[in-house]
Amino acid sequence: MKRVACLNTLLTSPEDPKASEKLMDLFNSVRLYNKEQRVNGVVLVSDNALLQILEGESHVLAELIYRFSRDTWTKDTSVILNTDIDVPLFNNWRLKFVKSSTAKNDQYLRKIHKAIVADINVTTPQDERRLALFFSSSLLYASLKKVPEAAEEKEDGQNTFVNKRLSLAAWPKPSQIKPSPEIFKLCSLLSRREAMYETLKQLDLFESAAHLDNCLYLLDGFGLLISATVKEAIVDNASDDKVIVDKTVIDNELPSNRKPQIALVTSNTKPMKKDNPSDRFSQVLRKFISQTKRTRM
Amino acid sequence: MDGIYKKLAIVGEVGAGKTQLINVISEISPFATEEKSSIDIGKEYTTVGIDYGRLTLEADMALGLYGLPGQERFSMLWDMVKQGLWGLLILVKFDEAFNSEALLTILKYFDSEKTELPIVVGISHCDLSNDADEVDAFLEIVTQLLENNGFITPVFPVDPREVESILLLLQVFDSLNTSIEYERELSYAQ
Repeated sequence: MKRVACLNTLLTSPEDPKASEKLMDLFNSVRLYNKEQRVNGVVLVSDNALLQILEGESHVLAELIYRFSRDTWTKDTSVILNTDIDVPLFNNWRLKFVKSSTAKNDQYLRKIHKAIVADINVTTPQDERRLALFFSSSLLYASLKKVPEAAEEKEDGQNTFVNKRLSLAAWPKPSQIKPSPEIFKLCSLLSRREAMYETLKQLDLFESAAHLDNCLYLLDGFGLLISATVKEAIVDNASDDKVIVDKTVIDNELPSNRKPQIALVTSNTKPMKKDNPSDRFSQVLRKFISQTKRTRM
Repeated sequence: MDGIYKKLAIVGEVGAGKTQLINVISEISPFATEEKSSIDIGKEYTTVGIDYGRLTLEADMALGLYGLPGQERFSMLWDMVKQGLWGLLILVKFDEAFNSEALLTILKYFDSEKTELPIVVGISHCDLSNDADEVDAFLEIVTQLLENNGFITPVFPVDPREVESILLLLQVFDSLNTSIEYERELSYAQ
C-alpha cells in the first residue's frame, strides 16, 4: 500500500461563485471513485490551494494523480510525498476546509502533519508557500489557544466590540455552536443587517451583556463575524437617539462579492411592540415548541 | 379577533423528504396526495402537485405547510404559495447528485432580499454519510456556494422523520421572523 500527497492550485479564486460548485463536483465524483477503488485520505482546502493525502494501491493512486494533473480547473500539481506504508492513517475519504483555525481543525492538522512530515519532499518555493497554508507555524501555534469561553476584554478593560458595527459572514454550523433561540436571533439579525454593538445590547436578545459578548466572541473565533470600527460618529442631539456614521474602517473585510447587501442598524429605539399578530404567533409557536419538546423527553 | 394563518413552503427535489416532514408535524396526512411512480425514482410513491399539511397552534391560529417540487418547471406551483410566506425551507439531499444550480434557481426565484422572506436550507439524508465530518464538509460547500452568490442563509442538517429536528427548524424560522420585526422597529425609529 502507498501514501501519496500532492498539492494543486484551484484556477478559480475561492470567492468565485463557481469555486464552490467545482469543489462540490470534486466532492461528489472523487468520493464515489475512491469508495469503489478503496482509496482513503483527505483533501484539504485552504484559500485556492488543495493538499491531497491519499492512501491505496499504487496503480490506483497513480491514475488519480494523473487525472488531477489533467484537470482543467486546477494547475501546478506537485507530488510532495510518495511512500510505502504498512499502517494506514485514514479509514475513509473526506474533504475538509482549513480556512478557520478552530481547536478541532488544528488538532486534526497536527495529527496529519505529525504522520507525514518526515516523508514530505518540497523542492520549490511555490510548494513551500502552498504547504504553509495548511501547516504554518502560526496555525499550529494558534491551535494551542482555546476558543474563548468568556468575554475577553482589551488590556485597558474595554470590550473589543464597543463602537463597532457588526454583521455575519455566514451562519455557524451546528457543530461549531450549540443551536439556541438566542443564537438564532443574533445570527438572524446580523445576517440581514449590520448592527452597532451598542444596539445589540439594547435589544435584550440575551439574558445579559456578557452572554451576548460570549456569542460574539465565539462567532468571531470561527471567522464568521464581520466588524467595522466606527471612526467618526456624530450624535444628533435634536433627536437624541440617532447615530450617523461618517467613516468606518472594516477590520476583517470580506472580498466585495462576498459582502452581504445589508443596511445599517444603528439607532437607539423604543421597546418592541408585543401585541401585534406576528408577536402573538411567535409566542404561541414558542410555547408549542417547548411543550412538544417537554412531552417527548 | 381575526384568525392568524401563516404559510411555510417546503421546496425540494424528489425524495428529499418534503412529504415525510409534513406528515410528521401535520394533523392532515399529506400522503393522501401521493401516486404510484411510473418510472424508477428510488421510491414507490411520489407527490403529485402540492403536499398540504396543517399545524393548528390555537383555535384561531395555524401554520399551513406546503410541499412543492424543486424543479423550475413547476415554478407555477411556487407562485401559487409565494405570496405572504412565513418561511421557505429548501430541502437538499445529502448525496452525489447535489444540484447547485437548482438550489440557486429556487433562492433567486424567491429572492429573500426583496421579499424579506426567511429562508433555511435543510440538508436531509445525512444518515447516508460515513461520519459527521463528511456532513460538515457538505454543509461548508453549500454554505460557501450560497455566500459566493450573495445569500447568507442558515444551512442545517434536517431529519424529516424526527420531530425534534423539525422543531429546531421552526425555532430558526421564528427567530428569522422575529429579527425582521426587530429591524422594522429599528427602521421605524431611525
